[in-house]
Parts: sequence; C-alpha cells; structure tokens
Amino acid sequence: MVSEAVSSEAGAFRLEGVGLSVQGREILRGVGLSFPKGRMTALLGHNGSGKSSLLRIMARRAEATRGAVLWDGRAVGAFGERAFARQVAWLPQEMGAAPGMTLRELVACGRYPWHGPLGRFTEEDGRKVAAGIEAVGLGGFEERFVQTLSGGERQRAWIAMMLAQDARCLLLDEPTAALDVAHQVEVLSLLRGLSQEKGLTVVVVMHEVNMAARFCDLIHALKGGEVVASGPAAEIMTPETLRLIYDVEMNVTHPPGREAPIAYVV
Amino acid sequence: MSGGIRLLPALALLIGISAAAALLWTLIAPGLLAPEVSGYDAARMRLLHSTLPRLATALIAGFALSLAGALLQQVLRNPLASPTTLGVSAGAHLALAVAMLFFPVLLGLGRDVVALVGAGLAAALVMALGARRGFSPLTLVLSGLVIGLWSGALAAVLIYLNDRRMVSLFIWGAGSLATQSWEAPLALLWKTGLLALACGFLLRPLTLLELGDEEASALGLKLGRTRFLALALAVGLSALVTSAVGVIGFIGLVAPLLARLLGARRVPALLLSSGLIGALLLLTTDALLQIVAGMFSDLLPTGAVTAIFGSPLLLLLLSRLKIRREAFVRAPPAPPRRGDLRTGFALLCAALAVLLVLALFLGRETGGGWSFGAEMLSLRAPRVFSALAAGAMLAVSGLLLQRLTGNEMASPEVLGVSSGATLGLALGVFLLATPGFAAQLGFAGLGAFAVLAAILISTRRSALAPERVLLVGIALSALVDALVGLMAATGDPRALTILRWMSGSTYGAEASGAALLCGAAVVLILPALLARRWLDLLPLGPETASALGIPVRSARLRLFALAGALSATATLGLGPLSFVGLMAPHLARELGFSRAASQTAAAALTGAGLMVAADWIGRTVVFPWQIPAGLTAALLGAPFLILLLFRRGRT
Amino acid sequence: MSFDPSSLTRRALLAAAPAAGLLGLAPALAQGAPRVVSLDYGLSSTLLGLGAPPVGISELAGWSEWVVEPAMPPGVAELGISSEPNLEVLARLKPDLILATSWLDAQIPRLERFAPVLRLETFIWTGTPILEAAISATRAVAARIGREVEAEALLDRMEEVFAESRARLAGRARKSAALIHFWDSRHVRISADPSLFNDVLLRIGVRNAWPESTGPWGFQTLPVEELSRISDPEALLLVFEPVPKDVFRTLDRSPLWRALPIAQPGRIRPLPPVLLFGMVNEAMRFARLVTEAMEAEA
Repeated sequence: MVSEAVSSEAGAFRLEGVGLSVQGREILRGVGLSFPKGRMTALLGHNGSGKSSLLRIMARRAEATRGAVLWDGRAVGAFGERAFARQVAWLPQEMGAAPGMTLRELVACGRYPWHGPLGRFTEEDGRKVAAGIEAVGLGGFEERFVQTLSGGERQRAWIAMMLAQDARCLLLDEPTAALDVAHQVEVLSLLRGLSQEKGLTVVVVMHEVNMAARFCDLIHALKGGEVVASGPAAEIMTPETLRLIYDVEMNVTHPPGREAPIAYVV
Repeated sequence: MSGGIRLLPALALLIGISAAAALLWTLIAPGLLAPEVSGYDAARMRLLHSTLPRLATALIAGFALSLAGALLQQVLRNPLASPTTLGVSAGAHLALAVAMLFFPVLLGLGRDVVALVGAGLAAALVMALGARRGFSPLTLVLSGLVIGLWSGALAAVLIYLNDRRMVSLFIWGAGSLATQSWEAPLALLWKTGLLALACGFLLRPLTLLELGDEEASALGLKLGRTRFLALALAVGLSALVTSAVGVIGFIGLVAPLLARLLGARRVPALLLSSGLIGALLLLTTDALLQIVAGMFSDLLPTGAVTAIFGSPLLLLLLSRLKIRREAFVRAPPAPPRRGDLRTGFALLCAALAVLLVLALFLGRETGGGWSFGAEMLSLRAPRVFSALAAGAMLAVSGLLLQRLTGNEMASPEVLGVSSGATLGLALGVFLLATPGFAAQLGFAGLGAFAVLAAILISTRRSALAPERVLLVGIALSALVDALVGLMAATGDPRALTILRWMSGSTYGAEASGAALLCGAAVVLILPALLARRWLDLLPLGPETASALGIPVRSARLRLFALAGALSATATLGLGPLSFVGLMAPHLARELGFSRAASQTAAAALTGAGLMVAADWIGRTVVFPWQIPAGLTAALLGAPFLILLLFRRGRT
Repeated sequence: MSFDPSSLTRRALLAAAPAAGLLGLAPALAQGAPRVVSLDYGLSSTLLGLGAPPVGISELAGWSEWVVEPAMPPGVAELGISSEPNLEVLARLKPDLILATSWLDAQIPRLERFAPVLRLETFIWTGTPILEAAISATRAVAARIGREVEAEALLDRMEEVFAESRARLAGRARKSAALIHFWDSRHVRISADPSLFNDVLLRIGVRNAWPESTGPWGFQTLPVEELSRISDPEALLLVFEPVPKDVFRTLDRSPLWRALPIAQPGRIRPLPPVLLFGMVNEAMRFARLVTEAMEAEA
C-alpha cells in the first residue's frame, strides 16, 4: 500500500527502512515513507504507535538507529544547525513559556536561522514577522505579552513564529490538541493553504481521522512502529483500513455535498 | 533496577549504620568500662552529662533539620532548598549579633530565646512577602534569599567592625553540638517532636501537591494554606534546632537528596527516610568528631565539619542524582510593566554618572565634616573604577547564569568559581600565615580556575545540565563557608583575613589593577551582548532553541565559560561579591528590561552603579572606618529589590 | 604613662648614653618628635610607654575597652580597622613612620607610599618566646624613634613588677592557675603556651594548669567539659571578664560543671580584661592583675 514514489526529491522528505530502538525496545521498525513537496501529510496512529518519534527523527530531535532520513535528497544529518532550520521548521508538542516576551518578539525569534547570532535584523526579516502574525490572524496583538494570550492565541503565536522561519517544510506535533473546533479548523486550513499556495511540505501528527481526511492530501498510519496504511486520504477512509489502524469497528459515510468522507465508530 | 530495594544504596546504608555503631562504641566504651572511682569520676561524668546528651542532640537535630529540608524541597519544588533557604539561620544570626553588641543583657534570657526570635522574625517577613503572591515557590525562594542575604550582610558589618568579641558568634555559626547537661536535648526533643508529629497531618495534601498546582486545587486542596502550614512546620523545626545549637546547614540539603537516591519516592517515605538519614549522618559525623577532637588542640564544630564531609559527598552523588527538569522550569513571573527603554537607559546612565562624581569627589574630613574636591582622587579613583567594573561583570555573569539555568537563585557564587577563589586564598593563608598581596591573588586565581576547569570538564560528559552545575556550586560554597567557619570558630585570626576578603572590599585596588578590570569588563561583556539572540532563545527551552538552529550544547558551554570568566575576573579583583550577581539581573528585570540585550546592558549599569554607590557609602558613612563594598551593596540592594517585588505584588 | 626618673637603673643610664649621642647627630628627629602612626594595639601602647604618643592609631574606638591602660591622650587620630587603615586619613596625617606587624604584610607596599614602615613580629609564634619578642620589638621601636633610654626604663619597670608579683605569691599555697575566657555557656578560650600570658606566668612563679601547648596564637577554644582534664588539685580558675550574662546561669544547672573540681567555689576568681596580643605594658598589667586575683580571698 506504499504510495507511488514522487519522482522529484526537491523539497520532499524520504524515509528508508527507518528503525529506532530505545533501551532494547523497538519503537520504529523499517519505516519507509515519502512526504512530497506541496502536500500536507497526516501521521496517524493511536498512542504509542511511534508517530511522534518518527516526527522527532525527521526534525533531527532524535537519531534513527537504522535506515536513512533524506530531506531534499540529502541525509538530514548532513545539514548544519541553522541550514537545517532554514529548510525544516518544527513545532514541539509543548512549548516554552516565553517569559517576558511580546508576541512580536516571540515571532521574531523565528528569524534566527536567517540572521544568526550576530546578523542584522533586516526589513525583510520585519516583513516576514508581520506576515507570520497576519497569517495566523493575530494582527493587533503584536505588543501583548505571550503569557497574557489565551491558549488558542498562544498556539497560533507559535505557529506564526514557525511561519516567520520561512522554511520549506513544516513539522507539527499535534498542533491542534489544545484548540477548540473552530480554532482547529482555522489552523488546519491555514496549513493547507500554505502547502498549496507556497508549495510547502507540511507534516502533521494527528489523532482525529476525520480532520486528517478533511484537510490532508496524504495519510500515513503507524501501528506498533510499523506502517499499516499509506496513501491519499480517500483511500485510507475505508472500514477495513480504519479497523486495521485503530483496532475498533468503524464505518464510513459520504454525506452529500462534502468531498471528504466521515468515519464513525460502530 | 525497577522496583524493590536498590542493592548499592542499601549496602551503603548498611555500612553507614555499622560505622555509626562502631564509632559510638569507641566513644562510649571508655567511660562505661572504666573501673568505678570513688569521689569525682571525670570519665563517667563526661559520659553521662556531656557525651551522651551530645549524641542525643545530634540525633534530634539531624532528624529535625532533614525533615525540614525535605518539607521545603517538596513545597518549594526546588532541590536546592534547605532550612537555610527561608532566612531562618540568617535571622537568628543577626539577632544574636545585635544582642551581643548592643543589648548584652538580652543574652541573660538565653541565647536560644534571642536566636529563636530572630529566626521567627526573618521567617515571618519571608512568609508575609510570599503571602502576597499566594505562597508561590518562586516568591518565597527569592524573598528568603534576599532577606537572608540582607541580614547576613548586616551581621557581617557588625562583625567586621567588632570582630574581637564575635568569636562566640562564629562558634554558633559553625554549629557546635557541645553540651554539659541533658537540659538542651530534652527540651529540643519535645518541641521538635510535636512539630514532627504535626507533619503527619500534611502527608496527603503534600502528596496532592506533587500533581501540580492546578490539579491539586481541582481536587479540593487549598494550595496557599497547605504551603503555609508546611513551611511553618519546616521553619519551626529548623529555627528550634538552630537556636539551640547553631547553624548546621548542610544536613537539611543532603539528607533529602540522599533519601531520593535511595529510592524514597512517595511523600511519607521521603519525609521519614530523610529524617532518619539526617539523624544517622549527623550522629556519625559527631561521634567521629568527638573521637578525633582529642587529637586536635582546637574546637571542631560539628556543623562546619558536616559540611566539609557533606559537600564532597554531594559532588560524588551528583552524577547519580535524578533531578526532575520541571523542578527548575517554573511559571514565570507576571510580565513587568515595560517602560520606554530609551528613557530607562538614559536614567540609568545619568544615575551612574552622578554616583561617579559623588564617589570620586565627595569625601569626609578627618574631623567628621564633608569636603568636595579632587585632592584624594588618586586614592579614590582605583577603588571607584574597580567597583564599577566588578559590579558590571558580576551582574552580567549572574544574568547569563539565570538565563541559562532558568533558576532565580543562580548567581556567580552558585557557579562555585568565587568559592574556588576563596578556597585558594584560604589555602594560601593557611600555608603562608601572612601572604603578601601578590601571593593572595595567585592563590585565589588558582582556585577560581581550578573550579572553572573542573566544571567544564565534568559537564562535557553530561549534557551540561544546568542544575548539576548549580549543585556543584552550592556544594563548593558550602565547603568554603564551613572551612572559614571552622577557622573563625577557633578564634584563629587568619579567618578574619578570609572573611574580609569574602566581604568584597575595594581597599586593595590599585590604579593598574582598576584599569585592567575595566578593560576586562569591556572585553567580556561585549560577547554577552553579542550573544543576545542565544540568550533570548535558550529560555524557550532546548527543543525550540534547537529547532531554530541553535547548537544548544555548544551555546550553553560557551555561555557558561563566559559567565565563569566574568565572575573569576571580578572575584580576583574585589572578592566574591555574590549579591550583585544575584540582584542586578532581578533589579534590571523589575525595572522593565526583559529582553536579553536590554537586560544585559541594564544589569551591567545597575550592578556598576550599585557597587560604586556601595563603595562610596562604605567609605564615608562610618568614616574613618570603612565597610566593605560587597556588604554595603547587599544592605542597599536587598531592600530595593524587596520594594520592587512588593510593588509588583500589589498590581 | 609619665616618665618616672626614680626607676632609672644603672643599666638604663648606660644604655641612655649612646642614645643621647644619636639624638645629637639627628637634630631633625630631636627637634620635633617624629610623627608616628601605629597599626597595632601592642605597638601603640608601647609608644605611650616610651613617652612618644602616636599621631594616629587604628581602632582607637576600642582602646579603652580592650587595652584599658595606659590611657590614650586626646588628639590622636582614628585610622579605622587595623587590617585596612584609612588611607585618606593617613595621607592627611603626613606621618614620618608607620609601625605595623607582620599581620599587615599584604598592605605594607601600599603603606610605604605614605611613610617608611617598621614591620615587627610581636604576637605570632616564630620560635622566640612571645615576651622576648615583645622586648626586642620594644627596643627596635625605641631605636627607630630615639627613645632608647625610655625603653630601658620601661623594661626595668616590667622586671620590677614581675619581681614584686613573684615575691607576693611566693608564700601562697595555690601556685597554679588556668586562664579562661567564656565565649558562651558551652565554650571557653583557654590560654596556653606559647603566649604572652604563659610567659608572664612563668616569670612570676605561677604554673599554667592547662597542660597542653597550642598553635601559633597561644590559646585554644574548647567545650567546657574539657576543663575536666585539669588534674592539678591546687589550681585556680581565673576567668577573664566580661563573662556573658547567660554563662553561669546555664552552667549552674549542669551536673558536669557543678561536679568539676576546678569550678568549686573558692577556686574561681574573676580577672579584669587584658589585651590578648599585647606587649610590655600588657605583660605588666597582666602580672599585676593575676597577682591580685590569686591573693584575693575566695
């Protein structure tokens, strides 16, 4: 069920036989997946399936014990720290508290990979920061302290920082976990728009299969550290595949006037 | 290793207990087995009325202090917290010093009463400050630290001006368990026993507190009240012990850490095993000490000796200690009002300029009047500019450490570099008795760089965990304090040389040295300003920082090295002025400078200004006597910081 | 302390002759007395004993408490703490000579910019008994300021005081004593060999009941129960004043103290304070006070 290999490697992630074992326990086993450019891909799976570990490996937060992880056709380990951060942006599940920082200051941190420790903060940097804030709909909040923002606003502030980073690939670990439905939709549409308009490679770790099917082009599903399903969202949304992923009897309906199907527990 | 009793620690405990038993027997046997003597029997009298009550005191004091330490570490969620954290011993110390100098009649009530009142006042002040912010751990730790520093500095000034009659205070400070009757241990037993029993009622609330503030209050726990009660018990326990026997500082820090290491996890087990381990530790140390004391011709106070043995123990155990990361990452304080930065800097610079003019030109006449003029410029300028440079460097060093570790208690002193320098100096004083200026500088420099190198080497292997570095520093400074305390308690005049050096006097400043210090300040503060982006990003957490492309490990290493170099240079110039390094970054933040670059610059200016003001006041206020700038800085800076904390608490 | 011609002995007169010659050769010194600054109590008191009061001393404020006698004449400038004498005051005093002990070694290069520094070993054990060191330091100071006659007179007076004390105590039964100072109710400082006090006790024929010798400072700090190691049944316990208020109140409740032979009523005598690190004047004061304490009826 492995999806067709994308011919071009530019701006794409490719994983070959990736394995990870921690203290003798195998977390990931021979994972081979592709994350093509300009597509938004969901990593699905229940708790402990290894999806977060896989994302961390792609973000270089952990090192695979076996296999190869290639970005843009090159092993991720071959990039320098800032060079990689200019290519790939990563949003961890839990963010720092950003004590004493205003929203604009936090988002400006995203420009670090470009100007480095000593470089000048240019007008271009300023524009990217403003664009990032605008894109997440936080215009007008620039001088507010991050600590004083609500949970949803804070989440979007961090995504704004990620956007300001101006990377070609965004890796997000459950970015919608803390958000209400309206904000979930807002954030996911934003990400989808970015992948389509700017040709960004977006990888999102998610729980909710319907949200994944609604917003993502591709779905990769993991279970027990192995790939159990992989392909366009529509192909994954079958009762058989879903049962395989979640170990629960599920069914799928196709409501009229809606492109994506809806899965529900029987 | 999962579950059950761990073999190695259990073995260590067993060896500890047998060693204690053997020591006890060695100590008691002569008096017990000696043949009956008619009339006055010196050996039996000593056994019954001195040795045994002293051992009992050790047991009770060790238990109470360690229980207090475990409570405090639990409530304040800071593994560096100990019974000295909330200013208990500093308050008692100050009360005794004041009573001795100004109201000797009060000592007639008993030293323990005076000490208890002092300890209670200090702790009450800390609690009052903490109450304004719902007994948040951060506020408590910070106000405890500041009030401790302030009363410590005030006591040090009194001692400095009256050192000839303060030896008894040194003995108290070094924690001697000597006693000549059962009166003290029995009184201590029932008082601390009651408080220890009361801890039983807090076991469940404290367990809930483990879950975190939100979760605990969701379960119906009154956070403020629980914290207040636990703190009150801890303060009561340590104040009772401290007032009875003096300062025995290290046990309360180490015993709970050891208990954790031995596998105590749940609150009841942790409290009980901490107490028992502490009792065993203090008993063993004191028994050993009583046996060894015969070989030395001088007093060996238990508190100081415990720290001398305990600090290397802590250093040894450090690699095995699992410190919960979240223990250090606390909810940040509410953001301060941020004023106009440009106006702020202009004000700071203007204040510094005014201070410089005052410090250089305004002085006292021999008769007591004031005079404004340049005639003493050549004597004053080296002192003023040394103070300026050292203040700025220590402030930046403290800022680097606080940003790197996310711990509000971090200061150059905590890095251990200044302790290393003091150890070096102590060694020099001990070997040479009256070393010249160059020799003093050489020994201090050697000590500072030895510690710096040791920290860098030891942290190269571990991933430079900030909390480890902090504990190394704490262990080292405890060691230094103990050594100096030991010397001072015997009345050895050499201890005064070290104490003076530790209080940070600008007296020894020379023109060439001052120029060198100013140059070093510029050269070393510049990289800190250049690293402003690292300093902004690192507090976001290692994950985010490295996602943005910061080489977290090497960045931390370089910044630690920079902080070390800053503090070593300043320490060699003027002595370990830890107050400035702790306070200037807090003052800068409270004044509204919160980003790395502006906070660095503001802290440097504040630190420089504080030291220049401190030096000037120290030179003029009790003229022709002089108070070391380091002490004056603490006396000035601490109330200022408390004022700012208070103001923010109200809004 | 005024100069008493009747105490001049033949030896002093002999010693005075070359000194007078020296004075003739050095009119600058003879005209106005040299302006001397002293940074040690013992040396300051020695200057008074030589009839050459200093222009400034360190720690003047504590003089009457710690040194007591001889009284410091008015008009002497205060230099603050001994270890860090105030340089602004020093500069204004324009001294001809600064007296310091080896204790100030770290500051001596700095002090030498204001005046020549005479560095003396007085109270630190360097192999010479402390009393002898004090005597030679007295002579060295006297030679430097042209007061040799007065120095010999002072030393002779000291010998007389020792002789008188020795004679007065010769007939008494109790001729040993332990010298203690109470730090608090649990700890004492006990004077031992090598110290000025110990040397003086030897000279006036009193045995130090504390059997041990100590480090370089001449005293030990000990818990009270260690006093039970004093075995001499005839020894008196001389307790330096002031005793902190809580000491006897606490000790009276201690069975150990109540049973201690040397602490029995009749064997404890108070002793007014004497400067611990003193020189000749302090040796005389100590001899006189010890004699009086030992003669006192219990």
